[in-house]
Amino acid sequence: MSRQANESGILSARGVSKSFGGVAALHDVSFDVLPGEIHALVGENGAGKSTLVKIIAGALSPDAGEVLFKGDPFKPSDPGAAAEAGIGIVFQELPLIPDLTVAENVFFDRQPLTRVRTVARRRLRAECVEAFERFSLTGIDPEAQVRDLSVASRQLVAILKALAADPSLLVLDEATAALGPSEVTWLLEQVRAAAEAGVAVIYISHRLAEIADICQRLTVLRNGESVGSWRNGELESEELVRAILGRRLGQLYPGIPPTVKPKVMLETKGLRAGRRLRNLDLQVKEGEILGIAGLEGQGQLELILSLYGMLTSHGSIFVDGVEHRINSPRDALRAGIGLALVPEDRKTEGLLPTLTIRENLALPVLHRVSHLGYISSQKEAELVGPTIHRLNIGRQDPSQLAGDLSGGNQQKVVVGKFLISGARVLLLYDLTRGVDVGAKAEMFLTLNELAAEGYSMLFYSSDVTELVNVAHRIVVMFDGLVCADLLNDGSLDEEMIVAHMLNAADRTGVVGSLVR
Amino acid sequence: MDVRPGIAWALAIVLFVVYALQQHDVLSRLQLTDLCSATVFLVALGLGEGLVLLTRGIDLSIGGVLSMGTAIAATHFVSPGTELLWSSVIIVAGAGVGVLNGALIGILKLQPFIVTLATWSIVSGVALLILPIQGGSIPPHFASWINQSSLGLPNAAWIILAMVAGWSWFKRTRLCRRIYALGSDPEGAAIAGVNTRSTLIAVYGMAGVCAAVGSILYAMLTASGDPTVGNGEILPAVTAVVIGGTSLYGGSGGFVGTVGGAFALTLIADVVFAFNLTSYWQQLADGVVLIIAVLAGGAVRSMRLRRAALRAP
Repeated sequence: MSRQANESGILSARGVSKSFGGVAALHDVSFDVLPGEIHALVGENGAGKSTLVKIIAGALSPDAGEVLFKGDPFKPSDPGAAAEAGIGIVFQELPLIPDLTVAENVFFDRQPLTRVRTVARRRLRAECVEAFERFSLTGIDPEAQVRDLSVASRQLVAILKALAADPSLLVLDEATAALGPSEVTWLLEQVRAAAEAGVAVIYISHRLAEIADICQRLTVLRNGESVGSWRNGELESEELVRAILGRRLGQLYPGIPPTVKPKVMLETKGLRAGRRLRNLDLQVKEGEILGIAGLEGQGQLELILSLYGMLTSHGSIFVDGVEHRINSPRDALRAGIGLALVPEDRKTEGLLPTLTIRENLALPVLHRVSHLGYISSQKEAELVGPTIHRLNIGRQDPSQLAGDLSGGNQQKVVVGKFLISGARVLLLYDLTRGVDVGAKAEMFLTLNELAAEGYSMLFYSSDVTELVNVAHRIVVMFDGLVCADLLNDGSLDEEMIVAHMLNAADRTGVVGSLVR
Repeated sequence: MDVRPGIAWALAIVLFVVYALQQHDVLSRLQLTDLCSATVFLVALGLGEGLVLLTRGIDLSIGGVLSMGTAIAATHFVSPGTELLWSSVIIVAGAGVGVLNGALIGILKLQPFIVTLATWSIVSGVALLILPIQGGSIPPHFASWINQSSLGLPNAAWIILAMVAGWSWFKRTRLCRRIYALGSDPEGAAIAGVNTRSTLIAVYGMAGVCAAVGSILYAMLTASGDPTVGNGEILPAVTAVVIGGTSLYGGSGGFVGTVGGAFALTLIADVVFAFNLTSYWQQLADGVVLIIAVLAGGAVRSMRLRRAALRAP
């Protein structure tokens, strides 16, 4: 363990503290990165990682302590000044400008100019194409408007923007949260290449596997304080999780109990929707967690949305043996299907922030607690009470505003809503995106309990490790079809699933629709 | 507990005290009746506009409905008995305009501002066709009711109380819950099974009805019709709602604050009058009070969040 700041660090934080309204977000944190080093910053949500990044970026100034950049005290007045000094940052909330093109974003405020000081559009385009080639990124049109890109593509553009500025320090704050496996591979390659060229990298991610893969050192933050810094491999993963949480976590993944029963709860035949979902046959059994894997945009979202009636679909959907026409979320709820969706921009989680926990939970089933349109608060309380208790939501106060809850608790509200609605089939779309390990572990336990009670789940996650550790069976989707149906009997691992995802792409010759 | 309605009421009470210090007869029955009858139509408009703001929308057409309503009243309230008939016509017309707004916004997904800007213009045109210039008359026996009292309270105050009672009932209905859900997050509400189309149609329909009721009250107050009166009342209605703590971002607020906001606005005019200032001061003061109300609401909220954060483990 090497706690003292290294003199030769390209960036050193010394005793940095920052409070918001009396709450310490960072307390006496010291930390340093060497040239050519990839240094991971890990911790739960709210541990202070993003605050530290914002201080480095000049978006916040520390209350105490100082930051040294290349040996000199560094106080950028704003993110523009930090960028000029050679710090490239990929923020968690993608700060691209949606109405500008990709090229204009990548070279924002350093566009090539003509003689009369207007933006030289042709040179801008050429330079952007050059940047794409240099960092081997394909599949995105430099002239496309950022508004029209998928979240993953936007993330890639933000990363490219940071790389293209040739920074001497690169900061990646949850840069992989929105990326699929092949894009993550691309990012890790670029980060390694940059580090080999002498760039110092601060790498923030909830995905511990990535960190083990790429970093030389890691620093753990907890409740705004630095727990310590270690070399990669110095800690067992269990010790690392304990350092992050400050307590023993039984296990991140609770195992996969055999809860699958023979009865088919959800079946689709020839399901088609939009251009991406072409002809899908799928069966989910009672008590089964079915994992959905695939490269980005292979119809996974369309599948979930059409099962929930948010997208017009053709083909047949059977719930518990009965065929249902599902044209709206109301139809889906009536058929016993619930959806916990984390939309791509993660602004909401199907959660109504200005309503209380009680109001959120009761919303889909107001008809059960009301008479002639008038709601009985007593019945409402009786209905939601057990669920709040059972899922252990927040302080278990039904009148708390949902918007004031932590991310993990908000997701519990979303799941709880559909348990109350009587849904027997839960559609879980990227439920764990950006959720810290503590909350994740709790959520997986809940999923296991639900499976044991006979709930069926469609579990989509962009994190393959999670699929392997949570799902009873995994289907890999490609081009709107199921291209592999794999029983997770202990013989599966991440690489095999990724191989299936890429193989399908190889076979059809559309490799690297996004990334080579 | 939301404190923002309290701020609106606190402002109204402060203004009332200032007014009372300057104008000593303010507590007389006549003055209180004037205050209530000058406020009641704004309260009615605010009730509807508040519902619309809760869904993240805006309704400009209430101005047109107000003008049209007074125009119909001034030309068709001719003999006893016709008032009730034509009052129902005004209300049905208001509901029709609102449902049209709601259908264009909810089903065709057009922007509320544009849709209601258009229907405001259309309905204002209809008002001018019915009554080209200010005039007409309301039978005195009907008009004077608004300035009379029953059971010791001005009739206008009874109407406001009735609206508050109606609101406290409505607040507990499924429809109201859907309205808050929709404004809080349209996508999230749809996921929870809320029919956003029918909810929006209901909301704009109710706003139209409220504006129509407001127009009848306004016609009673002035005992005549004015085919352009509504144009000047749209923004005061929005102002009353916002002073009352309803968020333009939707999903939070309520009618109790709106009533306080409406009284605050009327009292500003009264205070300006009591100090013998020109009415230009009224507009200036309206703006200042609006900013104070919004700032105070924000300050109280962030103070509470900070305290909650300190309490959290």
